[in-house]
Amino acid sequence: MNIPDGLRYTKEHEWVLLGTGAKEATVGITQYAQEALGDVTFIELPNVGDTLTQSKTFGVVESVKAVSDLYAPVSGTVSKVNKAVLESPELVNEDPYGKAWMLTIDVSSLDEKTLMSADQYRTFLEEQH
Amino acid sequence: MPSFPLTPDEERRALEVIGVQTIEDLFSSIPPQVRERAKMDFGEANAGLSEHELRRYFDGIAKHNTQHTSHFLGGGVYDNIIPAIVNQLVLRGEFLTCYTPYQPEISQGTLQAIFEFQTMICRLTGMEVSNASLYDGASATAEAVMMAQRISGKPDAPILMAASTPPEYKTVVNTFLKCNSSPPIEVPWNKEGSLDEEKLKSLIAEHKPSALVVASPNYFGLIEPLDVIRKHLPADCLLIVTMADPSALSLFETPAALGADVVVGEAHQFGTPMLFGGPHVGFFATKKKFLRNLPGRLVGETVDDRGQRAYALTLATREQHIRREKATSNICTNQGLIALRTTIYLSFLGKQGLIQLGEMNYSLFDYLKESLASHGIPLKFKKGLHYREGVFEVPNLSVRFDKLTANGIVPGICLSQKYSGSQREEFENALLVCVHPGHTRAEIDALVEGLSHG
Amino acid sequence: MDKGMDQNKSLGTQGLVLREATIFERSAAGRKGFGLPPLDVPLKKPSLYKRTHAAELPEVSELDVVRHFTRLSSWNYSIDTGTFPLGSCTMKYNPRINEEIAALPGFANIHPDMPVELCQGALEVVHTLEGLLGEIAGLDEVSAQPAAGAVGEFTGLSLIHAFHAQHNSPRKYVLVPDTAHGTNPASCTLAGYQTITLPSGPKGILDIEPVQAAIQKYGRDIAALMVTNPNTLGLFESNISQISELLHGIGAQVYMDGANMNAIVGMARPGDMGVDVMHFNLHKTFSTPHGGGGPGAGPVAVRSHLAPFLPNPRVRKSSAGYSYEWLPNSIGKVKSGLGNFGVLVRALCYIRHHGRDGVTRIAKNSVLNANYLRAHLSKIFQLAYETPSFHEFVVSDSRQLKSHNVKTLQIAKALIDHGFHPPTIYFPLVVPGAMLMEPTETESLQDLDKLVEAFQDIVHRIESGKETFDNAPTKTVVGRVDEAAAARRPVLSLDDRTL
Repeated sequence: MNIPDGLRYTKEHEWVLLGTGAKEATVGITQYAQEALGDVTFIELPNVGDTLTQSKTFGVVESVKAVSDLYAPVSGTVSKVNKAVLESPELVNEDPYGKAWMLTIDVSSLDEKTLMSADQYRTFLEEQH
Repeated sequence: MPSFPLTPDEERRALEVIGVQTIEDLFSSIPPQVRERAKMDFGEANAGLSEHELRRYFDGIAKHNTQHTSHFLGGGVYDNIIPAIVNQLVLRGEFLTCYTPYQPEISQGTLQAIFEFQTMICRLTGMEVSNASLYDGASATAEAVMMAQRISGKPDAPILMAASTPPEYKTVVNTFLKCNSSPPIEVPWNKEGSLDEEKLKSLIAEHKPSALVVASPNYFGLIEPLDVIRKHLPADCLLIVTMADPSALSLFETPAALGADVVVGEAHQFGTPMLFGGPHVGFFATKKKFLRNLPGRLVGETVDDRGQRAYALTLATREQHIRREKATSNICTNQGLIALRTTIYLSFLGKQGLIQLGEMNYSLFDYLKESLASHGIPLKFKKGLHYREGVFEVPNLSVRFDKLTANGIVPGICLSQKYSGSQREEFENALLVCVHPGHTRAEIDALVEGLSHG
Repeated sequence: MDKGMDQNKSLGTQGLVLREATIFERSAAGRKGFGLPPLDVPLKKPSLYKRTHAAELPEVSELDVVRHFTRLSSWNYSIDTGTFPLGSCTMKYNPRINEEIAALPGFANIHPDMPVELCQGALEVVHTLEGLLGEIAGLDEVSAQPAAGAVGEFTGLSLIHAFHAQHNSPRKYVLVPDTAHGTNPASCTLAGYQTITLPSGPKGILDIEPVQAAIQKYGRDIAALMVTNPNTLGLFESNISQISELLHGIGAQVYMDGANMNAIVGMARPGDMGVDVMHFNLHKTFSTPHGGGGPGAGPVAVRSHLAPFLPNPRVRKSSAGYSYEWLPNSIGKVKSGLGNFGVLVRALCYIRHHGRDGVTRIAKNSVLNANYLRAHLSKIFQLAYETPSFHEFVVSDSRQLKSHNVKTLQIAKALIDHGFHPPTIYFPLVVPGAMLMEPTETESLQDLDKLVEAFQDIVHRIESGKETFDNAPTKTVVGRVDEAAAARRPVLSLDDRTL
């Protein structure tokens, strides 16, 4: 399964790309998450300027017969929202780590312990099965 | 006794395959004390009846209900003329005995019919989206109110409701709201039976409601000035129009054109008998921007893997079987077969037929109203625009009502039975009289005669 | 070449199926449909608020309508067509005499505001049915008003809400086992309660410990337990009596979802297990055809302490006949009129058809058929629980998934080509790859044997590596439908295409 190095991961199967100095975070869902959901049909995201709190829900991903909440991996303010993924939710299935990034956050605080490395996430997935 | 398929031989074979001695053994996980107490007494119903005996039994009961020769009852349930093909087509086993269309490849018939239903409801009401139907007009109204509360983000958001909404709709809405919020605040009617605009303005200022529910036609048969009402509402206050009588859409402007955000109502009169109140069929139409807050099922058009047009239930993620406690409603079913009846009826009635139906209702009521007025029985709300029913002040109502009823003519609904307190006093001699497409001049004349004497 | 099942034996075949666009596409301007009777009073038209554009209904003839809907009907699979092992749905055959009786003019053409002296027959139907359902439930009073199972659930929970309110004991939580239908938690929300999910035990039923633990934790904030019995795995909740006692000990109520009454009608009565309130699904157990999704009816039965809160009005019988009574403490109305009367007539007809001993045969034969099917299918699929099952049972696709990566959905769709309706899949949620099967009492062993052969053939083809059924079904009027596309860009009416 594709789990790129250099990204950080959460137990809710989201990936986080931290910018230099961890001031900015880009967020999406993992290959594992999109496969578990199946064909993604709808995504609900907050607006630019909204405040997110780490581990609280901030959006929803829906497939034909499943719904999954999105949880903020860090705290901060939404700085960009990917309009392309809102309009074409199938991008999540096609390119979860690329075109299907969901939003970027101006980080106000983050809890390092909750963010796994690629290796740790691989182990986490194995333990779950 | 009905026909069960298993023969004694087959029963033995089945038990052998399963590996138990008796059928009773299969029930061994029921605690013995529970099993022992399961003794029922059906009285005279202990013995099963054959088809022939069932016919005799039910004919005997049903004949107690057919002692009247004509009636003028309305108020949300309307007698109608049902084309033979409606009754015939819905008895086709493929419609009657199929399941909810979760497997689209073997349910295209039901799915396409619902898609056509949704299209018809949109075209009738002028709205952009319709669901696959709800239980009835009252529950559709309750669902509309709860949707408005969801959209507002406050589960207990205040709701205004016209006091002239059919009483049953009001009590059903109250029951559904009771556990999570306050009941709707009633906006009284003015001396002409329409929504009191001054009271509306002050109630809006006081409560900052998320929605206003207005019935049009209202319970007194009056068309409400929806465009004027809309102007009083703040932009974020939804206008919910509930239509117990959507046949008014044949002649009157659509609620959508007058500013409604949600149009709900009861469509049974389009091809389904009165059935003592049910099963009927609720409809629910709104703007596309509220799509994800809609309750109930939706059918969408798509394609199959051969590139053909196909239909499927869609946006199911709003529903209880996926979203459980976060669902938009606990509703599981639509009124599949009744929605089908509606679709068949409206297809056959057609564009011109619907207008003709509306004109018939309008003209019959006009004749009734003029005849009663000339016999000294005026409309209670004279200035309003009536469609097919209205409230009349009948002197000595209870005596005349009983006399007519004894002669097989049920003249209408005595409104004092539907209200309490000061409203009951206002309606002491008020009779809600409704015409139906099958009424003849002679029937109306007989009613007028009976109501004006005694 | 091994072709699996001889194609001449498979029920699924192909015949001439006709295409049919929407009814609107049959329309021709000026074509007249149904003829209304002539108007014998002067024609009048409104002058205000006139509709500016007529509603674009179709303009079609009688034969257009008949052909259109007959063609549509031929695309549906139904009970009348074949076997429907659809777990949790009780898709059984319903005797047609029901339809004839419900259509009697004396039932069909009655207005609900008819004066009581002119609708004594209708009131008799409601009163008699409520009495019989009470006897079947082992409970004191019944209201036939709820329009469906979900309304029944809401009604029952509202009664509980009203009961606790009257005792000045407002409560917050309803305990719901993890095997429950999704409606249960949704109804709890509607009734103002939060759901606490209880895990089912290793045998698939509710053990006493999690209930004790919940009571320890939430105490008198627990309003009720909501339990389906037999549960959605088809297993009888045999600890129900003790669990009920525990809940009654803290003043909480026991609600039973009667969705699966077909399994126990006449064999066990909810009232005898400590249940305080339950609902029936008349369209399942007491025979109203499913109709592609309704109508149904969901009467509630209660013990006497909840009766003062039942929906208004009640139908009472006295020497003077039947009349209405309005209860002062009622929760109100949950449906117009007295309920889905047409469905109530069918239920009464069905119960009178069977009589007391006949209704017991419903349970006996449905449980026998389910266990017969289970005995055969547990040889080819993984049985989810060894616990003896009632009217339905769960197997999973785990063997086929492990060996050949074929999922439940493919198996379900493959069954369609064999001429059967698929079982319920992916439910209950506690069993991964679940297939929930309920054959019902009206199937013969011959038909069940054919179903078993179809499953055997599908499994044989999967396990011999010949097929994965990614494109099944192939014999249906449409192939695999793109449900993702339908949800991504919803087209919900003919006019929506151009919106």
